[in-house]
Formats: sequence, structure tokens, C-alpha cells
Amino acid sequence: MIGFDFDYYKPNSIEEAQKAYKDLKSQGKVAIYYSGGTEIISKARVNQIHFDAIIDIKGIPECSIYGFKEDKLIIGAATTLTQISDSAFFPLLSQSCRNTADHTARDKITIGGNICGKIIYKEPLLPLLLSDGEAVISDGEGVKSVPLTQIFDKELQLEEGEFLIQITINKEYIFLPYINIKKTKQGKVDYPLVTVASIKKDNKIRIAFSGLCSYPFRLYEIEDNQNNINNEIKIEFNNIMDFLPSPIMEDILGTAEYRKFVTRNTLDEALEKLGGVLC
Amino acid sequence: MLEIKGKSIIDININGTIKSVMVRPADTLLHVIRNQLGLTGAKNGCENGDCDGCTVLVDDWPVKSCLMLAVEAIGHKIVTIEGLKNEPIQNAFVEKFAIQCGYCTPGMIMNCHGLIKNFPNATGKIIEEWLESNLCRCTGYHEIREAIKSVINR
Amino acid sequence: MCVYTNHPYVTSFRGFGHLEYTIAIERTMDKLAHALGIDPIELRLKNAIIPGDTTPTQVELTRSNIGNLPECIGRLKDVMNWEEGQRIDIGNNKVRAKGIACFWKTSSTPPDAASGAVITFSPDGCANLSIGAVELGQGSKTTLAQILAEKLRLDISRINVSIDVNTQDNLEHWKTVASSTTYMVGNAVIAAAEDVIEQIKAISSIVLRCEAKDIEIADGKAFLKNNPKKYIDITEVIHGYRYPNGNSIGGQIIGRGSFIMRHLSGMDKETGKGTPGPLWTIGAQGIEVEFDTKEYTYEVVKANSAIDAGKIINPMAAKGVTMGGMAMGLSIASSEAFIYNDMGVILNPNLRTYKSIRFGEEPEYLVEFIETPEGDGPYGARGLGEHGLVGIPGALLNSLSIAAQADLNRLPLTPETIWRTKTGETI
Repeated sequence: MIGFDFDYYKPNSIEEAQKAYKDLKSQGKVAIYYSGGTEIISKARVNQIHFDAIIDIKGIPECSIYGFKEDKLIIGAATTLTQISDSAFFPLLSQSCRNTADHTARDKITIGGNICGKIIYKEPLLPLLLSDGEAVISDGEGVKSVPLTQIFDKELQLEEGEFLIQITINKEYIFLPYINIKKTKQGKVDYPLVTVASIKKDNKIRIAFSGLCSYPFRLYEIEDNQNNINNEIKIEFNNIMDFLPSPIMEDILGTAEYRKFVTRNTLDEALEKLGGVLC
Repeated sequence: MLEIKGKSIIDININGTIKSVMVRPADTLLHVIRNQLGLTGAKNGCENGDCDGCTVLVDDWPVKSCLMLAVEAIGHKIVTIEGLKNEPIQNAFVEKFAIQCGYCTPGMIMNCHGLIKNFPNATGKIIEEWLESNLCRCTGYHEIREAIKSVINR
Repeated sequence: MCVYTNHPYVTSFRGFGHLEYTIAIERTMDKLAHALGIDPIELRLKNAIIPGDTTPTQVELTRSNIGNLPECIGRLKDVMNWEEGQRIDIGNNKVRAKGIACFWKTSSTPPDAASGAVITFSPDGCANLSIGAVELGQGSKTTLAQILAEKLRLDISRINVSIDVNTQDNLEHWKTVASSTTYMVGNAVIAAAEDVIEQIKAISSIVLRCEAKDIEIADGKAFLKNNPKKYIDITEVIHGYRYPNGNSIGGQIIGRGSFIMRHLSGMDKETGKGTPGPLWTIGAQGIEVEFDTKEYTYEVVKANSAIDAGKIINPMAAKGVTMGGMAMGLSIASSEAFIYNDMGVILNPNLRTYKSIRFGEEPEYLVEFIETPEGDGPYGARGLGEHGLVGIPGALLNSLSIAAQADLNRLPLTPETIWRTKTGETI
């Protein structure tokens, strides 16, 4: 039961959404954009967040597109994780989505909500980072497209009033060799202890992590630190550890040492599948 | 643009009938169906989206009603356990002794019913993927597995 | 002195302390077996408690008040295919291992714990049973209806059991706990049924012009044993019998039954001698795991129980609560635990972070019942509600200790704790 009151708006277009936000702002009201809403409801119920109004983007057609257009896969922010995991458009993304939460939750959780929310795991983001995805954003005046790698740093760096409309991926990434492995403390339905997602492009292995540190990231540094010997790509585990953007997480899911142990095993398995080797 | 400001009367399509209910925009669908409509089959198991005790079907897909606002139901078709009468899955649960305290049962049956509707030939893997959403403390899941298998393999 | 805190209060987990001490005993048995070079099942058979032995509080065990442990162990050994070996390397860093634990539990109650039952009849001959036991899914009301149906020789479809329990005027049952409902309320129901039978026979014998002992009651009829064609329908008796000329005898048949625990006593402060409960349900349980020696993760493949709870009145309900107990045992052994920080604050206060077992994580269950009759139980039934859980955590610890070749003694058995124990990594 959410203990405070707020108003509900459901615009039918990007312009209506932008106008609604501006109008609410001018009335001194705090408005947030709402997609699946699972995180918003959970946090509002325990008073971790407060707002005066929500703007539901699920009625905006551009937010609900999911399919190919020319050489791009367009993923609307309001696409549910079940819609993605049940489709065959982008197998790596389907797997990442399938690993998140549980099935019934995935019928409501949207990819936009998952990426823009405060929960730190965002497993569906990893394939999008690895595939040089573009974020299509409403920025109050109109619409702009920004590479995800530019706009994602710990969180999606949106300015006030902006909201995510879509992510687009170039079709070529979809057919690349990939692997996605999730490890948990115990049992399948849980936040990740560590999730490793990886693709091979132009004979280079790209790796992204969730759960290892306090935010998800693609480890760009390792992409320039690979040796290809006898058609096998060698990657040093210690290099990976050195390049981590922040200390390894230590929490109720596991200690940092244990996470390091699990990460090593997982990378071992992942690289082997992609024709690499961890040393 | 749909705007709902403050306590308002909205129409929800529930179990095949349009019902008018007075809701706050902040009210969850679970709260409204239990307290306004007297449909207490959906349960307040955890109110956090972890147990699936509150599961209803929204346009034939299972959704945790504790993680959905009542206002989001406008324009959609909601089915609760009270809307199922003599479905094969209900009979299977009774036949296979898949019920003990009954608290998880409405959510379990709604999820199974959604599964059967969308994947009438579901493989074991799909059954596991769907049903791992529902927590049961009493049965250890064996009879529930037998019940859903008996309907899917029919 | 009492101090108010915000910590969760401590109370019983299914089995009321039994899973905890069973872990200590069963890990010790395995460690002794290892030190002595004896097979763990052999060691348990050698030391199995049997009629003629006494309990820790010096109660003498007889064929009537305890189940047959050696037979439970023997059955477990067979179904687990123990002969193939306890630890089998199946390649690819995977090992299959088996661990067992024996358990027992009495239904410990206050010495004067009691239950009551009242039977009345509807005009159509259906029996209405009023009791104080609460139905929470364990199937008590069904089991008690079965007992009544058996005693009255009436089809179970003609038995109604009151569902709600009104604490103001319902018959009291001590408490719906301690796996004691079937035993206590079942005995009260049988007593009430015998009262009903006596009253029906008394009236029927007048109408049929014979002695009460000449009459049999079955299928809603009171008839002459030697000539079943001479009968009256019980519907003619249960609300009073009316002669053709209008004269009426008898009245409403009201069956009253009660049961109170017999021969229980508190424990002597000096000697510890006393009788805490009327019966001991006993069993042997086993777990088979598949353990990954590289990742320290595991899957519980099979969970087996061979339990002697006396006569099993409702096999599906008995199997159901036993499997439920086994799942609960696996859940607490493998992942449930409150996690506190050093200020005593709970860090996992919801079902997102307090993990219990889910669909797909359950093992293949095998539940067998050995039915040594309980001398004073209804139709020979002993207690069985909590028991499915009791030996499981110990069996899991034993099987994983064998799998990982490490000394595992603490719950929950997460891969990290197994890794730390095995590799000696300390926090």
C-alpha cells in the first residue's frame, strides 16, 4: 500500500509527455516517468521515493515498438522483458532478460524501466552496451540519439525532464558469437552475484559485468589488451581485476573474495566458448 | 491524454464485467480487487513482487497485481481466480492433492492457467520458467508439477 | 530483566528444535563412522533404538509406542541404492554423493492435554462432527472424517466436519500443533462414534425386538447380524423413533467423546526421568546431491524418507505433508537464514532477500511409510506432520560433507560456505 498520493498521466505522444512534464514542473510538482512501474511501486511503498505525479509512457507508440527497421533493431523502452525473452530477434538480449527477476515479474518489468531505475544490476543493459547501442531520448525540445556508451556511467545520465524512448542496435551485432552466464548466491531467482556477458567482434572479445561492482559496466580497457596467439585470444585475469572501475562488491550475496573466485570461473567458461582463454 | 487526479471513479473490466471502482492513483490493483471488489482470492503474500500470491491475468498474461496500479488496468481485461469456473487446471489441482493451506493456490492456478492459454504444449523448461515465480511453503511443489503436467499433456 | 529490541523473536521452526539437535547427532554419527571405518548405515543399524530400550528420559519403548527404525533404515538403504557407493565421480568436475540421517520425535504435550468431539446427525442421516482442531492444509479434517466414516461404516460423503473453530463454544482441542491432531482428536472421535453406536443400538434393539448386542450398524442401517434383511434406517432413529401410532421413543442421538493424554508426567529435576509424550514416530532420511568440485555449487537430486508413523490413514495427505516438510528442510539447510549486521539489524527482511526453495529446485521425492501400529492410536496411527523436515538438514550436511570431502557443520549450505570450509579461506 503506497502511503502518499500522486496523480496519474498517460500521454499518447512524445510531445504530450514533454508538455505534461513541463506543466507539472511549472506547478512546482515533482513528476517522474513511469514504464513497468515495478521498481517505482516497490520503493514508494516503503517510502524510499516520493513524487507528486507519474507520467506513464506505455501509451506512446514509439516506446512500444519492438522490431527491425532497415538495418536496426528498435527496442521501445516500454517493451517488457518477457516480450524480449520470448522473441528471437536478439538472442543475447533475450537471455539477459530471461535471467532477470522471475517470469511473472518480467511480464511487467520493461527494458526502459530496468535501465533507468535505481536497482544496480540492469542485466539487460549488458548486451546493449556490448553492441554499441544507441539511446533515443526525449530531451524536452525534441528527440535525440546518443551512443549508450557515452550516456551510461554508473547510471543512465539523463537530464531533468528527459526520458528514454528507445534503444537501437545495429543488426550486425545480433549474429556475433556471444555468451551470457549468471551466477547467484544460491538458486535461480535472485540478483546476480556476478553476471558475465560477452561477444566477439572483429576478433576481439568484449566483456560486460553486472553484480561484480556496484553498477554494471563494459570493460573497455580489456578490449585493447588482448593477444591473439594461434587463433586463441588470451586475456589475463589480473588485468581484468586491475581495470575494474570500482572495488568488488561485498554484501549479503557474497564477499568480495568469493565474488572474485566465482568471476574467475565464469570468465574461464565464457572465454572458452568464444575461442579465448583466461590466464 | 488520460489524467487521473486524486480519488476518482474508474472502470475496470474484471472477470468479463465492467466494474466501476473508486480508486486513488496510488492504489495497487491488488488493493482494489480485494478491498473494493471483495475478490479476496489474490493474496497479499509479500506485496513486493516476490511470491506471486497476488497473480492475476492481464490480457491473458500473468501479472503480479501488487506491482500494478489500479489505474493501469484501464482498457485491459483482468481475470482473477474468481473468474475461473471448473477449468481443467482447477480440477487437476484437486485431483492431484496440489493444495494444502491454499494460500499460494489462487496465484499458482492463475499462473498455470496463463501458461496453458499461451503455451498449450509447453515443454518442461517453459513450465519451470513460469512456475518458479510462485512460492509454496506447504507442498514441496511435487503435486503442483503433476497437476500442470496432467493438463498440458492431455 | 527484559530488554525491548527490534530483532525478530525466536519461535519454533517446524519440528520445534528437532532439526537443530538432529544435525548435531547425525553429523557426529557420520564422523564416528568415518573414524571407525564403518559404513554410516551399518553404524546406525547397530545403534538403532528398538522396543525394550529406554528414551533419554527413561521411558520404556515397546512395540506399541515406537516405530521400527531398523526397517526404516533398511528400506532407505534399498531405495537409495546404497550399495553402488556413497561418493561417485561422474566426470566433468561433478560428484554424486549420498548422506543420511535418522530422526525421531514424540508429540510432547502437557500431561493433561485433551481433545473432545461431538457427533450429531442431520435428518438425512449425514453425521456432523464438531471438533476443535484447526485445518491449515494438513488434511486433519479429512483424516478425522475418514476415521469417523470407518467407525460408523458410513460412506465418507455422508460425513460433515465443522470447518470454522469457534473458541467460545467449540469442543476444545489442546492445540493444533506437535503432530498430535490425528492421535488426540482421532481418539476422541472414535470415543464419540462408539457413544453414537451404543445409542443407536439401544433404540434399534427396542424397535427390532432384540438385544443391543445382536445389532450391527453399517451403510446407514441398523440390522440384525444374523438376518440383515431385518433392519431400520438410522434416519428413523437419529432424531427419535416414531411408532406407527405416533408414540415416540429415544430422541436426538448426540455422540460425545473425549480423550486425555495417559501416563504423561513432567521430568524429575534430579533424575530427568519422565514421560513427555505418548508415542515416537521414527524414520530415516537420505539426500543425494550432485556437487560441482570446481564451483562448489550443488543440486539436490533425490530426497528420500522412510518413516514409521503407524497406520497411515490418508496416504496422499501423509505423503503431501512429508514432501512439504522435506522441501522446507532443504530450504532452511541450503539458503534460508536471517543475516544481521554488527548492529543487529536484519539485512534480508523480505522474500526478495530471504530465499526459500522454488519450483524447479525441488528434488525427486521418495516417501515410504512403514506401518507399525501405535497401540493406542486411532486405527494404529502415530503422529506425522512435522517429521518430514527433521532429518533433512542433517542428511544434506552429511551428503555434502562426503561430496566436498570437507567437514560441514553449519547452515545454510551456500556454495560460499562450502568453498570457505574446503579451502580454508577465512573471512
